[in-house]
Amino acid sequence: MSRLALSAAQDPHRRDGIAPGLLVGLLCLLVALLFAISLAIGYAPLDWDAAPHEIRTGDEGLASLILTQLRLPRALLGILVGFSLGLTGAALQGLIRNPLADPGVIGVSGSAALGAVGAFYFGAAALFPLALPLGGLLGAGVATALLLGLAQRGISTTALILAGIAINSLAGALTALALNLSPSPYATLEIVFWLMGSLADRSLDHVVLATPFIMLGVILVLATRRGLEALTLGEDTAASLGFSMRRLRLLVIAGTASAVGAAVAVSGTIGFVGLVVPHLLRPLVGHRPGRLLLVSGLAGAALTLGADILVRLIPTRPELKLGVVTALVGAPFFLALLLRLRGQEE
Amino acid sequence: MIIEARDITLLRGPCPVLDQVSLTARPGEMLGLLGPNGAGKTTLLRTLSALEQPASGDVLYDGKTAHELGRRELGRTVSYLAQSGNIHWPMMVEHVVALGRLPHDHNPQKDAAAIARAMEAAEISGLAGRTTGTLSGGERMRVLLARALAVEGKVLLADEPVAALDPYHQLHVMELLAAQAHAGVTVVVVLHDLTLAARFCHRVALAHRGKLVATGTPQDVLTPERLRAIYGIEVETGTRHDQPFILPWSRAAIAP
Repeated sequence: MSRLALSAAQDPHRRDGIAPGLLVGLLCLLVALLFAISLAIGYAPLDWDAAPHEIRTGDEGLASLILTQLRLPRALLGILVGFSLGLTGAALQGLIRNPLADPGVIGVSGSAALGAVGAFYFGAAALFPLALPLGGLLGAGVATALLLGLAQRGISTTALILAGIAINSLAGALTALALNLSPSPYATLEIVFWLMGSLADRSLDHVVLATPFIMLGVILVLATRRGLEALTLGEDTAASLGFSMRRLRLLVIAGTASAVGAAVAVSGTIGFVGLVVPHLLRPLVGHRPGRLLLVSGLAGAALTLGADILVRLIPTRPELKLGVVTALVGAPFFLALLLRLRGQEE
Repeated sequence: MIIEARDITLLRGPCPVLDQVSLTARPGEMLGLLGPNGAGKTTLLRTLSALEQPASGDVLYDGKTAHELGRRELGRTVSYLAQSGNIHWPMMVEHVVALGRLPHDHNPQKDAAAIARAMEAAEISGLAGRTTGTLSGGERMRVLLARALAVEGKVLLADEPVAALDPYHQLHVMELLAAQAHAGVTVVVVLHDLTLAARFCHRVALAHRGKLVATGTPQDVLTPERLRAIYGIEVETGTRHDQPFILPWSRAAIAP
């Protein structure tokens, strides 16, 4: 093997990526740094000397309220939502072996958005604040049940994705219908704003609600690591290597639905993270779809935290929505990336 | 390992793609599957590798069914080289070859040794650090072959491994497969080239419309009369250095 390693090290075409442990470590550091920055900034000034003392003594002063009710939920959701989007984007791209996939293609995010819009439309959102994410979870749950039913029957990956696209279109149409029939312009505005995606004004309740679903999704998706690696050579070869395609599809779809459904339910739709992040990271892991999963999750968390910090630094009123910023930054960046990659291939 | 198909029937809708097919391949043997397009060769090979479930009949691996062996053990035992040589991501060659180790329990030292052996056997050790996007067709097929060899299974099933290669690389890949058979592996290979089949295979099975019409040594099976009836071609045959060659020459007057 040493001879092999030697010949490989001398090859100028070698594109191995950087050592996986180092990459994960660096990304963890980046996420930790951005998490700290996210805690440190905000509109309401935070007294950093008072907050820890107040939390220790159980004194519900202004400082501890700002930290635990405003800053902490926002930063935690940034990590959870971003990790979900990055991870599931990488998993779906691996499953359909197509870099165009993003977590939205299976229709769960559209359905979660529809569920939340339903909570607005039928007035539940006005009754209690958690009605929105609960509506989102319900919407995601219905779409997930439909997809899993299809996957269980052993239909092909292509058919499954087409079903997801159909679900997405239907959810989009019903969301448009709700807007069309919305009783007041104010309600319309509220729905439209929510749909743009944001982490502002979320509470720890949102975090508690989303975390179990996101954790479950992350575990399911990470379990497909080796299977996705085998899929590089197509479904037949993966099956011949001992992987059940039906099980692999079920895990990716169920995991993505759980994580992204919960993420959209608490944050609205945040575009481009799930599409761009795997592209960005793929060369760093030598294009290996299994290796890509964890690092895409971490980079997704970093990107979402970063964008959410940017949102608060840009002094506009009303505050820019996170989904608007990720799309505004993401789309041109993505185009530039594609042009650069194309240049390399030629 | 002895791989045995017993009275396999496989349906697509109401039509049998394989009709009561029986076939046995033994360790150390290179068995060629031949027949016109649509004869059922690929389906038979996929059935042998348990990728297709027959409507009736059994495939036995040393007397055990795929179910008895289990998915994982089957993955370790039967190595399948697919017809479409797709490599979906531009990964490094040694990472592609390493995919053959996935059915095995993770053991870095054993895996590295098996990968090195497979790359040596497929003569691609020099390509270790290259990405798959930079390979020629011949290099690519040998990389995929090395991936299949890295499984270190007892059976190697290869679906048209030389179809897209130039004559030099066709001979090269056939020699590599023959070396595997020589080392005791059970090799079943789907081929279109009659001369390569006659030269390299110990036995050949000729498929036609879902049935095996003849199984035996190339000399016995690949007769001009049979090739005319099955393929609808006239052939020129002969020997060179005691080795047979079969040259398709013209289409027969009567279509098959």
